[in-house]
Amino acid sequence: MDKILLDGAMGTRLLQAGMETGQLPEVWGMTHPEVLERIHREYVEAGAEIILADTFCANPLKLKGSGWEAEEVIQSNVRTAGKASGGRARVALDIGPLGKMMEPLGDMTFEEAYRAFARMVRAGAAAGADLVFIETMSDLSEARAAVLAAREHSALPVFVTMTFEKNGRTFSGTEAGAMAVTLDRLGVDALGVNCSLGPAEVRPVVERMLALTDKPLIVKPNAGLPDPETGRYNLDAAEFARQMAVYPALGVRYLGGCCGTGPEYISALRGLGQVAGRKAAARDVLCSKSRVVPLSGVRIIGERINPTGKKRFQQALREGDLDHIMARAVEQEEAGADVLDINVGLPGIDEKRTMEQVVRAVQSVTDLPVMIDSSSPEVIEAGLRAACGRAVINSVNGEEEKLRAILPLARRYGAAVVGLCLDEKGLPAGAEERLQIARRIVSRAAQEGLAPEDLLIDCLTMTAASAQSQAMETLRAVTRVRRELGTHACLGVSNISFGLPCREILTASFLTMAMYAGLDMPIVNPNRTEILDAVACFRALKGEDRGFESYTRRFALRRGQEQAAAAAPAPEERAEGLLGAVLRGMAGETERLTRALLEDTDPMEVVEKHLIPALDEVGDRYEKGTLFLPQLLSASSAAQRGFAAVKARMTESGRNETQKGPILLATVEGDIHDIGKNIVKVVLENYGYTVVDLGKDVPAERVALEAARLQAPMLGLSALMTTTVPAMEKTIRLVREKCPGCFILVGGAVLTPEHAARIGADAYAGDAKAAADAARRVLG
Amino acid sequence: MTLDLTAAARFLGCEWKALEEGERTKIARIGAEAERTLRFRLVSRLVKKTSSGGEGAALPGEDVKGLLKDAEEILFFCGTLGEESARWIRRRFLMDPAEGLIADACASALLEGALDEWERERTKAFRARGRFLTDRFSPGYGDLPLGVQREICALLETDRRLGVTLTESLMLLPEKTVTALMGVCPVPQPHRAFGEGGCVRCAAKEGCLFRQRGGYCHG
Repeated sequence: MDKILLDGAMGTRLLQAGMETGQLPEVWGMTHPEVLERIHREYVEAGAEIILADTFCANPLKLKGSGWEAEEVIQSNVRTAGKASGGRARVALDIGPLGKMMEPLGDMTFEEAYRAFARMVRAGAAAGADLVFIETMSDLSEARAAVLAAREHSALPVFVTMTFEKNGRTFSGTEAGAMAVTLDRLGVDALGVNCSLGPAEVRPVVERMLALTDKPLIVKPNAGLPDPETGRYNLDAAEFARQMAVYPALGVRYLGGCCGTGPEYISALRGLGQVAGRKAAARDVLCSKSRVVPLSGVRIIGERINPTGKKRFQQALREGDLDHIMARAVEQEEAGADVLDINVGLPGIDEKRTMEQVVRAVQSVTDLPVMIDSSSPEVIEAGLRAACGRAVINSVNGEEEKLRAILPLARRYGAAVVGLCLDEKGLPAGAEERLQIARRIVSRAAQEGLAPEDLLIDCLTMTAASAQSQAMETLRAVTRVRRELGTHACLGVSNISFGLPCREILTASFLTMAMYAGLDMPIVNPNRTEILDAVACFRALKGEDRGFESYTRRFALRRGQEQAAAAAPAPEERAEGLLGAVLRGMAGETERLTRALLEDTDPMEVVEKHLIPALDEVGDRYEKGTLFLPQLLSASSAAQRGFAAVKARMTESGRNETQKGPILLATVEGDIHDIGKNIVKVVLENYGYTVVDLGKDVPAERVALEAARLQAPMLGLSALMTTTVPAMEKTIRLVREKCPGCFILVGGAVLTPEHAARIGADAYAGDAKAAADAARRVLG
Repeated sequence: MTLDLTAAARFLGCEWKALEEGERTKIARIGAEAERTLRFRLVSRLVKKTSSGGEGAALPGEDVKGLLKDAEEILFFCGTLGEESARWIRRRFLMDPAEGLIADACASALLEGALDEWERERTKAFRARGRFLTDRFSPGYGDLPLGVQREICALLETDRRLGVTLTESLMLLPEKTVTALMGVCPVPQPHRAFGEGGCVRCAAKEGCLFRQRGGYCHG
């Protein structure tokens, strides 16, 4: 196969041609078309078969304030490239990053990015570009937004390259293999690496991609490494070409240069050899943007992001409390989950919007691929658009209507899909009937271009207490599905023990049997020790865990811990111990001692005589400066565990807890520093107040609307920088109009009590303790 | 990268010496994790000084003019702990707010330490060539407006070279990021006590917590 040559650097060529530092290359190029045409022509004459138009930054965000619209710049510069090419080279619409960080860590939404890219793509296609070249991307989410925009607003081929560091990751943590899997499955036409480092240094990145995609690869690196002071790159054209020679030999088809390269570099690549054949890549994987999970051996799907039967989780979904949900995600990852199931189905909420938010929030704090779990195709699609990486759809079944709605989504977004062994006729009774349905799903999936390994067949666990023989039917079906159809098998196992005593033991035993039968993707609660123990034992005995390494790590410390936990506190130790436990921030110990006290003490007395005085003591010590902020936080978190134990006891005995609030919290618009606000939230919650956290960068209108809707008696606003204090003032003004009775408390590094009064706040709090004191004054 | 634990304690508003053993162990544990998890990256660019500031970035304000009085060139730079730092701190905070707070302080101390180390190294390298560096100065210090961030980021191409971007309200993302400049001069430079004197023209001086505690943001 012939190699295809791309062009080299544009920015440095423009600087050499007279552009000044600080000018936008796209605008300069547009206003100097003859120079631009010459640069393109030099590349074409050097042998470039694809040239990138001068449109890298021609997006509405970067052109803001330049006096030019993206469409004008793109039209002009694509045409100039076309003129220079004269039919000798294909012209690519060049798309670079938008220059803003994506949510939730940054302030650019996916939709904002998508819209900006869509404008570029439409303009590029209209101007006659032959393909879309998305390059120098650092964030895979942003690259995905660009790919979807390109695909949905033109019929042009799409090429994507990203810029990596020596460790094989981009600045935003995107891993080279994960990038290859994600973009391959999203259907791009070629992918690879540009910019980054020199040709020799990017080799591990390229090899990682070769292992995980069969798509044509692109290598367009810098001319070596830059001198830190002069910025000059260290490879000349001949050495660049010598280092590039390995790539056609590895099977890389598209070759070009980035920073520091010029026409002579491209010309030097002409002499490189033919493109060699490649080994087939491993395709049986899932991924997030930062981690590839090969589907070999048992992989644990965490089931805890699901509101079914979980009151606290339901409340979090209704209130938009993403922190609670993110904490459940991190907890499962730390416990050993490999994939996270996300289900946000709850009556009365906007499931589609919630799914998008939760998927993004979860992926912002974990490395795990996600499973989008919903009965609505619309919600599934929203989840798939939001999910970065290769996700799983949960689920289709044998019903034709379902298959027709869901399988095309799996193909379009490159997702794997769970197939439940049931259909219009309901739950099948035996293994054979399950297998028949599975067979139908596999064959329908094949029509949509999905391979057996893209499917996770769920043979369905029945409750053993009501249908004892079904346990073995399920297991027989698992074995046959794996052997005869070659798909993966997933199974929610906990249903097996419903209605029976010691459920955990039965569930863990069934899980072990199921894994032996071939189950490789159990859907479980990874926080249950016995479940993960069963998986650890199975992996060890099957030989997946070589040399019992993980097994030994997992169980080595277990015995000592169990013995320590078993020691019960003496009665006199309890009360004094509780104060000490709270003061030392020992959450587990606080909960244990509170429970012990509740054995013979009225719950309200435990609160008033023990927990509140302990918190008061903490507050006093903090004010005296003998206790510091992290300790205050630990102590109040520990006390909260005590309060939770009391609440649980009161609920058991039918007494209603009284909640005070709600207190609304927000970091004002334009401000993305939220650690101060988050600390206040933790402390207020631990003091027993209901807190509704609107998050960071919250527009004044939204704060006012929520305050009025909830009739919030108190609002806390935070702003860190002088630039955002006007936003705070505006928010206060609007809240005063919409919710006149609301007590407004403000805080943040640049504020003082005087300043707070001047912008119309009721009070100023210098720290979280002061905020809790203010809440006590207002709400009791 | 090595973390100065006493600096981390300072970011928490504590004296390292005044902390109990348990707290010290906790900070040291999280600090060690920060050293393992986080990576410091920096880009710099040396440009000629012009009448309005530096080539490619105008520098309005009296303070920076005074600082660069002797300078012939300006060394702009941006150092960051990257997006991973935001993620790491967030995770820590979600699992245990107290540990999150410590993680945040450790990251800040790590960033400061890394910048100091780079600055020392540069000072040495320039001195070998008979050149002298001024103190480090950042947008927002004194009367140098925060808006200068935009030009510095564009000049250094921080989005492409570091993954650092600016929000509409001129905040740097990821949060653990610093942009600054130093003048490169033919004559030795005094360490200007920006301290009390340097605060005079600062827009944020009124509510500044550093001042309330008796310190300075740049000291």
